[in-house]
Amino acid sequence: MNISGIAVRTRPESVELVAQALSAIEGVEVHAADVGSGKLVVTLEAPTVGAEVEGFKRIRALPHVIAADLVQHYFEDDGEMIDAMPTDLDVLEGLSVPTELKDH
Amino acid sequence: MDAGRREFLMRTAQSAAVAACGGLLWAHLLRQEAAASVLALRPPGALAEADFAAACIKCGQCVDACPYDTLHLARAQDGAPIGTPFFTPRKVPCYMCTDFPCVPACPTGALDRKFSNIADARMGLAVIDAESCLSWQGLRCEICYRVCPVKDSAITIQTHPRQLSKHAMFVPIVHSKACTGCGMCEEACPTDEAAIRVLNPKLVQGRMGEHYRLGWKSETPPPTAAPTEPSVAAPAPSAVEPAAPAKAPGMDVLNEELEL
Amino acid sequence: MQLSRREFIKSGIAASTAGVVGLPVSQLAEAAAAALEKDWKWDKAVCRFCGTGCGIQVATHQGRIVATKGDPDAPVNRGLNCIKGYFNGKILYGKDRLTQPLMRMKDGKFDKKGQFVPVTWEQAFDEMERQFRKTYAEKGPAGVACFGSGQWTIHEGYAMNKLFKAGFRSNNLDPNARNCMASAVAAFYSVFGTDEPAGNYDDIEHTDTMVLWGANMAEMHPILWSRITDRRLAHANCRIVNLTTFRNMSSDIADLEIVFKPNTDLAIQNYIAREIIARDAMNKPFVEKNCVFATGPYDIGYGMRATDKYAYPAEKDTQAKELKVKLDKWEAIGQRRKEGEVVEQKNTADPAKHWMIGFEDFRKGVEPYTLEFVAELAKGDPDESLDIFKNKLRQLADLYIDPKRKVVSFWTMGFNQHQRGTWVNEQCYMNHLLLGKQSMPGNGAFSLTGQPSACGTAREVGTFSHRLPADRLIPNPQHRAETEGYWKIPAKTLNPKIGSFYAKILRDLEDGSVKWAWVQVNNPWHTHPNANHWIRAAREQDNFIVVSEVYPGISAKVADLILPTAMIYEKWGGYGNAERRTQQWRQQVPPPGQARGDLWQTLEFAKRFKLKDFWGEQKVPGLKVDGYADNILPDVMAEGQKMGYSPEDSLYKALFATSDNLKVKWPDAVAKGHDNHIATLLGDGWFPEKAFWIEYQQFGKGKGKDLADFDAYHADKVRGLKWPVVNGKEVAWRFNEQYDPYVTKGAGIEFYGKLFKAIPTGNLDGITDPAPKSLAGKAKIFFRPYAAPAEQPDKAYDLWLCTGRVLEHWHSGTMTRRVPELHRAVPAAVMWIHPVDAEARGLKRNDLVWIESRRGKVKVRVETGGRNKMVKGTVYVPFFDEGVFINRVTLDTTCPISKESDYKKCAVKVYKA
Repeated sequence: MNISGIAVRTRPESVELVAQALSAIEGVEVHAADVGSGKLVVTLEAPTVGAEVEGFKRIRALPHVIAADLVQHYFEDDGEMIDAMPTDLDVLEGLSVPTELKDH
Repeated sequence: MDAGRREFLMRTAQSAAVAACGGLLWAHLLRQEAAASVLALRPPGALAEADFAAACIKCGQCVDACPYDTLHLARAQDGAPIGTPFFTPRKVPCYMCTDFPCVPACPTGALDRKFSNIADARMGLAVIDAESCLSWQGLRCEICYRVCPVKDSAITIQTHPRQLSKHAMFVPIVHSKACTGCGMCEEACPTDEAAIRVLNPKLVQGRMGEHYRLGWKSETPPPTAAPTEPSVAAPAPSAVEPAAPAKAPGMDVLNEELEL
Repeated sequence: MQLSRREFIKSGIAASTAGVVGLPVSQLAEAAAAALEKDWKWDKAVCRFCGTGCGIQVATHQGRIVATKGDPDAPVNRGLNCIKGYFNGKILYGKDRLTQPLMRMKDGKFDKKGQFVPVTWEQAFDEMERQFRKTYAEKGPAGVACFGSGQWTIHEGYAMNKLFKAGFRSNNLDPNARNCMASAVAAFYSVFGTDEPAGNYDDIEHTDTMVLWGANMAEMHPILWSRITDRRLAHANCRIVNLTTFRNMSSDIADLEIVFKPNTDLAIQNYIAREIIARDAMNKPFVEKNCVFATGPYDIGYGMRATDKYAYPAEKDTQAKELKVKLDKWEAIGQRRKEGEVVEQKNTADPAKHWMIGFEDFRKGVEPYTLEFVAELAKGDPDESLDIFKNKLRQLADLYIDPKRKVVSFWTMGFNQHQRGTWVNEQCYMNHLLLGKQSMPGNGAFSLTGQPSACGTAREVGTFSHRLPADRLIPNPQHRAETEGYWKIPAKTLNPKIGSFYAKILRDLEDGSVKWAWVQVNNPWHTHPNANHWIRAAREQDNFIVVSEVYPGISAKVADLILPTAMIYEKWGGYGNAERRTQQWRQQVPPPGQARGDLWQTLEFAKRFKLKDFWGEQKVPGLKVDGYADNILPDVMAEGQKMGYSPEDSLYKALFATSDNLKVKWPDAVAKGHDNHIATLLGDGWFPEKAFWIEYQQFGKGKGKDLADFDAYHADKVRGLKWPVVNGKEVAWRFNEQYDPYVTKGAGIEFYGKLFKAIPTGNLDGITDPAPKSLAGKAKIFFRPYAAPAEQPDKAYDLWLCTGRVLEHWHSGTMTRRVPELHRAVPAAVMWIHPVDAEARGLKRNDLVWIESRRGKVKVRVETGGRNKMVKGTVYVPFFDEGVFINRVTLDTTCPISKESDYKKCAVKVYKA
């Protein structure tokens, strides 16, 4: 699973139009759209990195989009991610994980 | 890899996603640890945190003595130095036994041997988040007030008109003078996340200036903190005038050259 | 709200992205919330709990309730809720919700001793029918019974009332409202000749004196209490008095708290009346124009069985009081007799009879109730000085009498659940009428209700064993004839013999005279006092008990068949609150699994029977009524055939899916897209709730009980309407010409109720002239004396026990205990006790103790602090918790007139468990 956080800029008057166009792209979800500043926050979800880059290009190519910046990138390849963690994490004295994070 | 550990790491991975980089995660965890002992709620009669930490030998006798399974010994993830007793009011509060069996069970006096009245316990202080408190929003809840074992002194209800209709608001107010920090209010609070929580008073309590008294209260008690310096009584005026001193207040400034 | 893992990650990424470009995170959250709520559908409804009748708004999405809010447009609550109301939406979703019929089975067959096994509705109804037919063949109409409810919707109560009375020709149908409001009803009838309050909640803003008699409104009517508190805060001159048997939360705002001994409210009321006369403060023009004086017999027993055949050995001494009472000092003075006199209780059969007396007789009656006498008798707190108590009583009288003051008296269960509940209700009107402070804005005696539709369903629809819709009574031939007319059934179909009241149905099950019972929307085996008897009767006698339930409570546990039932927002419904406000709602979500509305269950069961099963001659033992052969209910089938009925017609067709009703079509535009699972399941294209409404409306039209059209209640802007609704206008204050079109022009005040308005004449000792004299348009001022409680603390059982509710839980907790947040707030019932009483028994807070009476015992934890401050000698235990099954301990005396149980006083002992 690949998820990107993308900041999109447009003219204030085009925010609604762009938001609609963005929502129509598969895997794209609009999280915030600020008419005053013409800024939108979207996430893009794609099965592979290749598909993700493809989606990003489509966003940039949309009419009225002035700029689209990739701000966050998250990918989850379970094995890879987990193996990268130190093995003795939870037995280190004095190191604790807040319960709030464990509850989800 | 066992399921529990895998689970733990997955959660950590999620927080990593939010923090956007691994380094920040560790920093976050370490910060959490630094604040931990300030957050932990101790059994009734516990000495001040620093003294308590020094005196507690992590023997678990108080935990054994508690009839309600309120007390637990801290584990790595519990946000307190490992092995020290603490409680989580939302899970099990202190039920304020009148004979407080946990206190005499303490072999070192980390729980004060002179402790004699459960109402004197100051395990923490209940704090209300007015934004999520149902009563503060005007609903008839006041559960915290009704479950409070020192109701009418630790928590009181203030009524005032609700501007929107012909109904009154019943607003709970916590009084630090009587709140024992038992946490029965936090346990009972019906909101998704408790709107009333017990915290170390140091984290939340302010202090008014010692110099001021509220004029409309007839007997405002002086602020509780001891004055920093012992006050010295001004000498009574004497009939015989002493000789003039070599220096007097204000001389320095007055004698500065004025720019003309 | 539980976010999925993916959503969680996404929202985290979006948040940090927003942070980078300088958009506030809160805006992001708002946008997310708005997106989430985009598809929600909001609609108006009513709170499921107490009799206040708060309006709520319900949001649904994909067949689930996703949110609720207090309705800002509802005049009762203006957007507010109490903590129970806050959780209305969650009561539907408890983990152990019943969704499948369950029957006791062994080897694939019904067996009383078997275990509960899931069955189909078909199997359930088959066995229910088989058992019904068996009992009906053996015992006739008297052998079957139904426990109804003040939590039934109006339509549900109406349908079951009709099925029992017109179909089964049985009056053994009685609601749990019997244990809640019956004493209030009996007094409304005897004093005014018509049920339900004259005033409304706006009285709170019009008055400057509010007196609570046995009503802890701070906990039990939380939203009304916030209106009362607001009035008190905003008006310096406003005074609140709390009369109670222990210190409760309503005292916090009260200006005057009067703690009295159980039953002595009877004496305190008479003291006020005596003061009114002594101070020459009676409003003579009002009384002469609008009132007469009356009284009745004193020797009426305590509503227990007349025999001790079924009593446990320990119960027999209390039981004996039903037959003979030895007068104590106080009763002797209060009843002008001799101390120690043994009075045979001769009037237990007709305790409600009464006659007119003169003012001089009345004055003579209240004369013994001097301040000294009443103070000494009534002082409830042993730690209070007699002088202080006297002073308080004097202040109370001052407040009532002050000509510049308007006074509203509020009461609920302290008066109603009372061995002389009818009397004490009547006494409250006595003082308001003597002063002329009645039926005017801010002036009046206001009986509050406990249940959401005690008024709307139980009382207005008349789902009692002695009532028919809109103030009609079973024994009244004209009322029966009118009802038969509206129902289009042959004359004499209705059974003229009053059926068994709630407590009597349980006693009937115990002695085997009732063998088939159906429970809807209540929990008799949890909530009726002296429960050990009834549990044994259900499990050890040969009978068949059907319980329609939503969660597994005690009644479900003792049942033979459990029918899974739809809850409030899973069906169309309507409730009527304490201020005569009728409110209706649409189905919001479908019921889960196989759960079905009570109304559907009633109608489906009716399909199983034919007119010929009931309309032939039926045996009714004890029936002795003019115009009927003794013990016989006549054959009406021939008459029915003349009216066009066939013996083969099903009860469903003859009584419910009538040709008129089938014209009321489903779907209907009023639904605005909402479903109706009952109409859909019936599948014959009619709208039962609306059809029944139209039918039911006829009963009250022109009779002072007019209701608006079905669609009017569903109009977007309407938040309930206070009946009578005449020409589209509500009535705010009844009996007052300014507000009530039923009052004769120029009359000013007119008590136009029609019941019991011609009575004999006599004096304090009895009837002297039996010829009934009319008192049309007038109310009665009753003299009622003090009577001692049937059971009082003694050496063996040395404490008073009082039971009731807590704010957080509703009745037997079947709903509120399923809401985790409410359960966490008050997980278990505790016993409040005075710290000195606890110490004397070697007890401390949180100790586990036995609380034991002559009837049973339960374990409970000790509470010496908290919301109730007990006086020495009295303990309080709430009844919501089946783990602290306090009704094993309570006493099943009733007010002999109203047959309402007294939960507020019996003798117990407490010792360490």
